[in-house]
Parts: sequence; structure tokens; C-alpha cells
Amino acid sequence: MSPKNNSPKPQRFILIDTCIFEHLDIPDLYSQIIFLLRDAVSKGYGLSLAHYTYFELIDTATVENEGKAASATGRLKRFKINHTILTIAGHLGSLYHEDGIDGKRQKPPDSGDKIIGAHAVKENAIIFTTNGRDFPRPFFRTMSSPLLKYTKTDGREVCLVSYFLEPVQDVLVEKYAARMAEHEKKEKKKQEEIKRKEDELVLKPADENR
Amino acid sequence: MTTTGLPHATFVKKSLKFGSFVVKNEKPTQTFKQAHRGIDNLEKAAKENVFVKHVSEE
Repeated sequence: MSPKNNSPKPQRFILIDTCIFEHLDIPDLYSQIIFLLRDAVSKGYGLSLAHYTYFELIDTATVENEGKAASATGRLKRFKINHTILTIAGHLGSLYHEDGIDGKRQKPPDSGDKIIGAHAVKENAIIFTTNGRDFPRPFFRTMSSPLLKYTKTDGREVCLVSYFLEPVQDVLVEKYAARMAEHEKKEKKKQEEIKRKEDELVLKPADENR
Repeated sequence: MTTTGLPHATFVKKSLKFGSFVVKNEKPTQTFKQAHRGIDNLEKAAKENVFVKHVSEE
């Protein structure tokens, strides 16, 4: 199959996580990340960021840097937060929690991670991040994990794993349906218990008259 | 330098039911020209240390 490079529009979005923008300021990482982004675009992907990521980029930035960040990200597709996104993010949080991703062993995904995850779910987009744990399995699947290398100021060489993650829609649908089925089962049991207590109350006066 | 390792992109229409609403994705409206200019802008901004924060070490 021939690549869709000549198409005027990309076929699928890559959602760049906030950490990737932050890594751009490390010279060694910058060249590798730019290379990966160019490779992705040449393969038919568009580039995007979540509105929440934009907030994280300008949060505590100087006025000068805020203007530059706006201009730097101006050509990227920006996914906006709305009721649907917040609802999906909330549902993701509930599914994570019920799957045992509750922060007892490791830091759970924060609100921003869930919002970025929700955009990926809504748009079937691929998340590009170095924080793989913020988008947990089995809800997200690793498509590829290129290694990024850089040298720290003290001379130590560091290897960073980057991830291209996609939402696993089947798992999300299945887990959400199981959650709703469990809720309905509990509701049914609750109603049966209420009815049983009501029946007991109706029978009680008759028992006392004996 | 390592490539993304991603396959060539294809648009796949996905819809999933979350409670009372069905979520559907849409085909991207961005053009390749915009995406490439986006990278150019990021390169320029990174050279000016716009996104300065520390790298988290995992």
C-alpha cells in the first residue's frame, strides 16, 4: 500500500504530551524529538496538543515565553475541553480506579493526564509521551517506544523511553459495559431488599393480632 | 537516529458508547503544510528555551 504522504490532510492525529515540549529544551533530546515528529508527519500523521497541555506550558511562564509558546504551538491542532471530554476523563478515572490503578503502588494519573487520555479516546489519536504510566494498560496500548538519549550536565548519559500509545477502544467499551452491568445488578438487589422489607412491614401487624 | 516505528497512518472511524452518549472521532482537518510549519515553529521556540522545565527521570 502506498503511503498517504501526498494527501493534503493527515489521516490520524498524534497528541503531543506536555513532557515532550519540556524535553525540547534539552539540545540532545530536541534533535531526536524533532526527527520523530518529522517522521510521523511523513507517515501521514497530523500533530496536535490538548488545550490542557497549552495551560501547562504557559503556567508560571514569563509573559515573553507565554507569547512564544502561543506562536510555537499555533500551527498544531488544538483539542478543546468540553462537557464530553470531561465526562470521558471522569469515566477513565473510574475505570482506572476499579482496575486497581489507585496510587497505592505508584502515582496515579492526574486530572490533566485523564483529560489528555480523553482526547485520545474521543479522536482515536496517538499519545506521544515519555510518561507511559500516565496512560495505563490495558486502556492504552504501546504502538512503539523509541529510545531517547541525552547527556546530563554532570556528564552522565541518560536513556529515556518515549511512547506512542493508542487507546484500546474494545477494552474501554468492555470495561465500561461491565461497570454498568455491575451497577444494575447492585440496583436490582437494592430494590429487592426494599421490597422484602416492605413485605415484612405489611405482614407484621397481622402477626401481632394472632 | 531512531524512527517512530509507527505504521503509515490510516483513518479508522471509531465510535464507543460511554453511558448516555456515543463518542465518534472525526477525520483530521489539519493539512501537512500546517503540521510541518508546526514543527518548524517548535524548533524555533526550543532554540529560544521557551519550554524550560526540568526533565523528569523515570
